Amino acid sequence: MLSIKDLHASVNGKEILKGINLTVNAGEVHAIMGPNGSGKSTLSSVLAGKETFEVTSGEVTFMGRNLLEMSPEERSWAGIFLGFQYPIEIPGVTNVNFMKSALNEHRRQKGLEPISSAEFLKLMREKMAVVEMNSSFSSRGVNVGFSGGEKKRNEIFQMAMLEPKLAILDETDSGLDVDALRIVATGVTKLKRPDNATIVITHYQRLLDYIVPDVVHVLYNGRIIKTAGKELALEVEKRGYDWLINA
Amino acid sequence: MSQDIIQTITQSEYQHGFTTDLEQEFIPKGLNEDIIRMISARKEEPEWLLDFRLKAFRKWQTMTMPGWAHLNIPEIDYQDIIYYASPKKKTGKGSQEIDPELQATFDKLGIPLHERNVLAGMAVDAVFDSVSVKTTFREALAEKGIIFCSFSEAVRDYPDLVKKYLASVVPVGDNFFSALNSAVFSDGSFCYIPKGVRCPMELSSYFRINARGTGQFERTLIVADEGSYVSYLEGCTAPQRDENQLHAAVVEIVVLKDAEVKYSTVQNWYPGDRDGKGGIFNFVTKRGLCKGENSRLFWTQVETGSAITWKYPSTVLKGDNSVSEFYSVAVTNNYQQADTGTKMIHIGRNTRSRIISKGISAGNSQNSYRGLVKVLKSAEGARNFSQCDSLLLGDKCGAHTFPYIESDNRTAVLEHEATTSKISEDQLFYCRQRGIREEDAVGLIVNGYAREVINQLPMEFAVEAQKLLQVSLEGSVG
Amino acid sequence: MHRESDMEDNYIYAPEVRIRDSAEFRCRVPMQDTEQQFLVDGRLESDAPLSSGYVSSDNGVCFSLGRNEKSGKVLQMISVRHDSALERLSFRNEIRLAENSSAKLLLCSHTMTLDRYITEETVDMTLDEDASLDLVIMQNEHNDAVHRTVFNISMKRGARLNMCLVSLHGGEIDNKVKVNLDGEHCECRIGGLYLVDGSQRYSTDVRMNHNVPYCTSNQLFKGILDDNSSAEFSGIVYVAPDAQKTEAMQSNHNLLASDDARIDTRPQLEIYADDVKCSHGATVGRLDEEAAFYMRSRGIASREARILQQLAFVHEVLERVGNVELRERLSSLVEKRLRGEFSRCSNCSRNCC
Repeated sequence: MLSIKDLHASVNGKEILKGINLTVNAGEVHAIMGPNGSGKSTLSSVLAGKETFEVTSGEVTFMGRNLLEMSPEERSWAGIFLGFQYPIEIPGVTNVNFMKSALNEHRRQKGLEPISSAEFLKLMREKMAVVEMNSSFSSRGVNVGFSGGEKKRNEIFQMAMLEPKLAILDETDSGLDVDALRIVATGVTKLKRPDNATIVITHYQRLLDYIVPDVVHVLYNGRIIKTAGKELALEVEKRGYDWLINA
Repeated sequence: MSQDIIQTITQSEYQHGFTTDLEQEFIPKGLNEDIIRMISARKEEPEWLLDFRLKAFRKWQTMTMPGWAHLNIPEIDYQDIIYYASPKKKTGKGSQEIDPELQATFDKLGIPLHERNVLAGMAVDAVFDSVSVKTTFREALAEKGIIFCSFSEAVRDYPDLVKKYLASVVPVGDNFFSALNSAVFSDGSFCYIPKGVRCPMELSSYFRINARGTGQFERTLIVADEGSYVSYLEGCTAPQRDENQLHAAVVEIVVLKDAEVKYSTVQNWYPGDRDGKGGIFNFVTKRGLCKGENSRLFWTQVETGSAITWKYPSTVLKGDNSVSEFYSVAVTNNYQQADTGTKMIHIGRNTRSRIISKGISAGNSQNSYRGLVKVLKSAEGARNFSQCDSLLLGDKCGAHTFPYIESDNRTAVLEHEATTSKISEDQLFYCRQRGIREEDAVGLIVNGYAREVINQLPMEFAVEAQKLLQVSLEGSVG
Repeated sequence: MHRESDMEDNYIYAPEVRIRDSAEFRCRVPMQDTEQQFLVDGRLESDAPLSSGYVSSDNGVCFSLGRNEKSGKVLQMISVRHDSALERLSFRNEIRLAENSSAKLLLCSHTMTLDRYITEETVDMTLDEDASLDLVIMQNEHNDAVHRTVFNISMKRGARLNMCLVSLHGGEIDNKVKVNLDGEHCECRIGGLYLVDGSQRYSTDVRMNHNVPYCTSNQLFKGILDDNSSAEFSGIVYVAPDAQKTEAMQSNHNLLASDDARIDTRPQLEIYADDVKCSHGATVGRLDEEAAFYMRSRGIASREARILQQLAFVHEVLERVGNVELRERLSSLVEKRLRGEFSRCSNCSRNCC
């Protein structure tokens, strides 16, 4: 599904990603771990097409297409979803309007008619239940005045609405208490299907108790320095990163 | 890449640029006492009103155009304007029969002149060039004692009310354009809500300029008697022409004890073309007087049209505990210029005012907020909060903020905040990551930015205004 | 009220200037590393030898630093009005900092004459590439003094200015500050504090021109107005076309402490570039009555509570003075001023501070 070959990227002339290689297949859950500043968030932003990052070399193909030539919205239509580490507030734009614009654009790309209001509201209610969100959120401004946990739930709700092929969850567990973590993680698990894939970017093992990864990568200084099964996450939790960095 | 977006956004089309082809009557071009006598005679006005006009004209001759605004106004030849134009009457005065051409024009503009296909409970006074062509729901309103008619009819039928309040809020010599209007005003709307009456429907005036070479100078007078309530809407459009046309209106509002008036405007005069050719010069004086205790006046304006806008709807808070709020969205695009804002003059005790202004500049336009908050010595406990934000779309436009805050009372608390920035890259990226196209994302974010103001409009107008924002900034209707 | 011994203890450094053959003027500044020059009626008049950097003229003084020169001392220039026969005085001072130089300056305006007079002062400042200037201006004259100052400031690439303008006393004080940010990556911070009472009049007019991209400016002006004094603040932040990535902030806050005081404030933004973050704010307010009540309920007298609140209000401006000793000295002057102990200064013509 996703194939990254020797990806280099920099911001303001400073190289952050120094040759990433990664392959993700349908049905898989990958976890990317690593200390602060290793390039985890940069990788997710580059995959989503954020223009502040410059890709200097390498290839990324997604479902057989050259991802690097696509605009952010084209990547979204193709099925890439980025769960933001810090979801953006958009004052005055209600969650309903926001989601409706997004969903209808996705439908238009698939040659479908815009969804009717009644159907949309029904769908919305259904998907909000996945992350135990109160329906009062729908009329509020996108992420405006949301607590940290509410913002993250809103991200997973949007993911449920758009049904992406590849979800990249950037530090979705940061700033969550135990209950919120459970809700978010359970939501992600419920959305798991054999034909989609998930990349979970995280600092901590605790999220991986809920979302069990097939593969765990450790990213350090812009490169993946270790790839193994889910037991790697436990080992990192126990021993930290030093043993890997110094190896 | 974002350059492309700005281009798409700036290539909008004006939706109301058609002209109506019908027989019209004109008076000769130019401005002098004879012309004023001629206008007065056509309107079969009483002597006192002619005197009022002549005095205003003499005053106007001693005045010069104000130059303090952040506007570049080309020289206006006041002798090259036709001051009176009206559709030829086919039926007698007072008849509610309307020329089918006119009917079609207002239908096309979406203004309901047939009472049966009503836009949910809205009464309309439709003004075409210099005359009011139809006022709907007069009888239904009259049952409650509400007077809603054209200004000319008010002069004829309710001279005492008109005499009592005309120029009581905006004195003839208040400014250059109010003096000009007082001399040559042709028609407009008059509205009186009696004591304790809550007006059961929205009242509205719709102004249409049609004839070439004319100016429109209407006058609106609203009086809300003690304990009454009315919500008033104003809309306006004009044909697409290469010439500039002048619109210099005066709106006066008197709010008595415990009464409340909401005055909303969606201003969509022809803004000129992409190169800044043509468009309306909109030089308008609007002022309300919160005369009685606990009176309330709320202004809401959505300004998308006109080549040049010079407009400061203001409130004089005279009654103790009176309240006024001003909500504004002003959009400028291409070569449009706007210098708009408000004045809040606090005289009474515990008077409160609030100003929310959202400016949006695109293309090569210049958009200025100008506002005065003035607290007189008598205004014990006065309170004001002002928030003025500007959004810039593109690097060729300008956004300016000129507040004036003057306090003469120790107990007053006044706060003003303003910000200027461009649309947030993070918000754009977030929308696009969810699959929303860049130009739609800009529209969505801009509408969100203006939401606080749009929310103040009555429902039907809010929808209209939202569309208008989209049209003003985008290539097609959203 | 003032005990001389206290003063001597607190302020160890007290050089003086003998002005022509009349009185002497002393300035007590509690900092050892301070070098003072006296400017009497616009002329440099000093017993001490001129240190490098100063060039005197009949009509003001020029201070300049060469490339890479760093002056470690605080340079204090005390301008004193003296000749009572001279009603109107105009002079021009110049401060020129060459590339990568840095200086700390303290400019004080005082008077030894009780007569009515007008001073018109121009201060031209040029900060070349990467030059850095910490500047404190203290204005402290009397009720019959009219002092108008124009600051013309030009900053080149990477220059840094931290300016604090403290106006304590004067019949009519008018400060015009015009800053041109002419090189990228300049940083300009201006703080202002004005305390006016009696029938004093104060006005500031700041024009901050962002002529090029990537500059930052920050202005904070605060004033307390008592009796029937009046003040005007007007400030423009101008951002030229193409001056992208500008960050500009301006605020003006005022307290009206009496029924007859009057304030007009006009902060303005004039912006012709889109990728900017600009904001301004202005408030006119009164002291928080609940806070005052709270303090009184703890036994603090209402007058004292009011002074504490006013001190808290002005603190934010004084905080901008980098030199700790100087900041404390200014704070104590401000406190004295707010306590009304300062009237001495408007009547007496020497040993002002």
